[in-house]
Amino acid sequence: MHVASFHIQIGAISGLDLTPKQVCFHELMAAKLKQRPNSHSSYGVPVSHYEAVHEPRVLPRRIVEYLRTISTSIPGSTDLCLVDLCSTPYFLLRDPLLLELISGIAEACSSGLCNEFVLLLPKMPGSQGAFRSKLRHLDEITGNQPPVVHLISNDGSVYAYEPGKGEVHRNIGPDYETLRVAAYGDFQTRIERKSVRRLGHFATLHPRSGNLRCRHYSYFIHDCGTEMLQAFQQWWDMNDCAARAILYDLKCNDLMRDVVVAHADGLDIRAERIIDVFSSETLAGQIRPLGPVVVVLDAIESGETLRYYAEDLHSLGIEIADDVFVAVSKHGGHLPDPDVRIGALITRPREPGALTCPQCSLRLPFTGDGPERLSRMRSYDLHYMIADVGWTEEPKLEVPQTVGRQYQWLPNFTEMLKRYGDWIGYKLYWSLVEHGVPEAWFLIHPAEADSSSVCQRIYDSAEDDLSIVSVPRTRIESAQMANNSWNDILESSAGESWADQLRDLRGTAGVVVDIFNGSGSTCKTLIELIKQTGNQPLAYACVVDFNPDWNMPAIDSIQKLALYEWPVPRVLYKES
Amino acid sequence: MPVNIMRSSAPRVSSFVKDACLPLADTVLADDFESQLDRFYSRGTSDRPMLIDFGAADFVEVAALVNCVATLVQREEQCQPTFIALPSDRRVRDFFKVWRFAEAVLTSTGRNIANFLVSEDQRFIGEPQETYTGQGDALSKLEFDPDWEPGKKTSRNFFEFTTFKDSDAERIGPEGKLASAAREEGKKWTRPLIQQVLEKHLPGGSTKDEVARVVIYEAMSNAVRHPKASVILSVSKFERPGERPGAQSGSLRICLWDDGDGIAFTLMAALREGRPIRAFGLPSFMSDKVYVTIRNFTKTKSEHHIVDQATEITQQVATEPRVLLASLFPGVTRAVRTIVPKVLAFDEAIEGGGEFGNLMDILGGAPGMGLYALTRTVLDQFGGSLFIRSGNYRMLIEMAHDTYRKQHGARYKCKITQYEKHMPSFRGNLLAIQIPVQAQIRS
Repeated sequence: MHVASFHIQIGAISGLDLTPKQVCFHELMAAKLKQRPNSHSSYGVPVSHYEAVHEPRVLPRRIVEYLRTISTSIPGSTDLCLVDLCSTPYFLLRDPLLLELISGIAEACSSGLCNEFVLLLPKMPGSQGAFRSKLRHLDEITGNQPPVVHLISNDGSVYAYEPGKGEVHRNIGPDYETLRVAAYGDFQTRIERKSVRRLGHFATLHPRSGNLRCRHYSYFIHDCGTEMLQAFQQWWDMNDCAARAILYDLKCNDLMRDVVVAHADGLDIRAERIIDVFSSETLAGQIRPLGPVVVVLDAIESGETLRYYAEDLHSLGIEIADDVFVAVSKHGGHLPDPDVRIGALITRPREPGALTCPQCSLRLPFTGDGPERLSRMRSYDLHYMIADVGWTEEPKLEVPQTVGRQYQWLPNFTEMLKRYGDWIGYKLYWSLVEHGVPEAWFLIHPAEADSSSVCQRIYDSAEDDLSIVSVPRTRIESAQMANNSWNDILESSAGESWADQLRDLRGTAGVVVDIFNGSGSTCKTLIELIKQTGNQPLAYACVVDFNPDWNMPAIDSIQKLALYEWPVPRVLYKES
Repeated sequence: MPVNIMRSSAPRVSSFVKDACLPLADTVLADDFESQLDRFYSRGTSDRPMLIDFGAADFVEVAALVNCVATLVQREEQCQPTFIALPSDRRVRDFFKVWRFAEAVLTSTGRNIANFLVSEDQRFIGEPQETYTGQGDALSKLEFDPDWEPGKKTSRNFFEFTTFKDSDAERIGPEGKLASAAREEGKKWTRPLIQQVLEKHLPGGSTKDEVARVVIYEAMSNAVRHPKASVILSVSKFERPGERPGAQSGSLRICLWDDGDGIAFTLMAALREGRPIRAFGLPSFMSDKVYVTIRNFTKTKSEHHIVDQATEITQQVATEPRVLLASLFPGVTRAVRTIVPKVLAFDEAIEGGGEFGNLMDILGGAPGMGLYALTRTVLDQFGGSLFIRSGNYRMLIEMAHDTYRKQHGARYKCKITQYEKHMPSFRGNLLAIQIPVQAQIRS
């Protein structure tokens, strides 16, 4: 039996290769529905946001074309075609796109390419909506030999459409979720990916004395509400929480506030801000009879705030439950009350304490836990990171040999990205978004460890749909020696992934990313590459700009985005 | 933001003669607002000053607020002076404030609300709101986030007016900066709290994610495509049972307004140019019948029709109400030819007229399917209704009762109202979606 499986991530403008775990998941699904395949072809099918909205025929057409290709190399038709959309956010699967998918299925079936299809969807579309209404009439669409179609949603619900049987509801079994999670990761993986530790000068108000205590870090978690709700619900169930009220202090994590209130609403229990209970006797009176309350906080470190909250609530006649949940736990096992059990979305090491705050000594203003200025980094933060990670010389292989001299001393960017990359990636991503990006865009960078790492961090802050092109330094140097002409290099690089990606991306906007700018030469060469492959240069983004006086060629009207400007240009061999 | 406050020149309510006032009652629905507009325009020239008097209001429907903005935009463009008297009820003024009505006026007309307020209401500018605290049920927390601060990516009130404008372009288009507007707006409706509220209160067993995926996404995609639009406003309200006077049940109301060309006007222009507006022939299972009542504004004349969605729409039969209704049918679009991309393998198959080409041509599917998908979900899935105000008509469509189904074989029933000649054509397009709420909401 031959199985063809297609993985689609809407917004991914170059196909994402399937991981071995995903391939294994598809084979297990085939085995569950039919039998274990003895041959398997798998493809990542690129579908940009633009195509999903304006050209929804592109997706089914690509699948049919792949099936045609398979039919030329494998005798007979494909026995089962698996279209995996389960990791695409459900709201991106527009009905017009799903309707076109049915048309594609009908075409593949009529062409004798395949007559059994499985669609893995994040959720099951409404029974009366346009999509399932059309599926119920599959017989009328395809005539003599209608295909068999199975819809499977992430909760394991299955609807099968078989000739003469109409719509049949089934259940695929409890292990579907386990298999899917093994292939795509669980909620914790995404929460970790979407958590950011910001640097700044933050202040915590002491709940008793009203004094301010300084913090250098502020944590927040973004773009993973569903996963946070899963984590909170799991914690609630595991601890057999029976509380009838939740009190929270979540000023820094509005997504966590959403999660807590949604969870409480689902259970028909109260959820209120702690501060409101303190300021409203009416509210306190409503909470008091509900018994011990679960407290949810932004973070816990020394446990002092929790203790004061517990005492103040106690004085109002409200007791807190032993189970406490926090978005970020950094208490390191040192809590004053041993009976308190802390659940957390993420756990981080305790921050080093300091008797005096150096930022206060420097009279630096507080930055606040609220929205930050994304496109700039404070001097203090950059130098704090450098003091933490140290200095190193520029790796020889990464020096643009034809352009200028090696930097003898550079911040240890590798270590900096390991320790602070979440924040750096977040700032760069949102700076680019604020600058204005089109529907489809990609990142391009020299294939070096640090710039790869920056791109990966930007990707982590984005949806799962950003393409990254890594161009080998040797190729960049060859182009520089050829006066930034890429024609011959592109010809000789056919088959290399970066060249193939750029060809597939044709017509898309590209952002050049590097860890730092020394002379502008790498940027200039990569901009030429973007142009010469039929794409459009959009911006240049780097962490530190050592050459802020260097500007993009005006003709390209490309924006340069650097988190920090520090004028130490690379020493050039000659002016270029 | 430049503020051009003309407090000294603002008139008092008492300075308006009776015929210049839109004296809105305690309950202000969009229909009431339009009735008053009709009265105003029937009694004199349109360029005389108008007072929109919310003074007595104790409930204002969000669609009426949108209609008010559309009226201001239209009259501003014609340099016709228009003034607003705010509700004397503090709760309703707070509703205006928390829903950011003033900001919607500013972004749509380019003028600060102070320019429109009567002189006695100038004192309400900057008045702090005290009705909404964010305490209580999940809905109260969606309506007001006390931890919100400027610069946050989320809004203070989930349902508040949101403006979409392309700062770099005079007109909105699907390929400009607002290309991702539908996606962003759809994503907003997938956050855990709104999802939970929808899951709990909307009817039917299917996932309520359809609100984000179909209702919001398609409504926004449609608005972004309207020609000559420079602004889109979206606003919504989750009305609790009993909140709307005279209504026992609650409902979710979502409104989108754009200042582009009218829907029917655009489709009729395509027909006049000899272009078809249907992308493909409808297979029988996709074709339903609609029981249509067309009446004049005073309801003194009405006619009834059974319209089959599959019937070809040609220039000869294309009246404004007919085309407005057809905009909801599968495959109807002004861009039949331009929307299908040229890709070799596929188009060769179609142009070759072979077996598969014909099949794909018949199935078509995508062009003009957005409003059809929206209608199926709102009407069939959730049992709600869809209202469109555009050009010289308004249209309300919902599922047909059993009587209509049995007698006429109609799946939907639709009321189309024609405005009198003295009413100016509506500025832009207003799409108002209503989805009933099934359960009691604890307050």
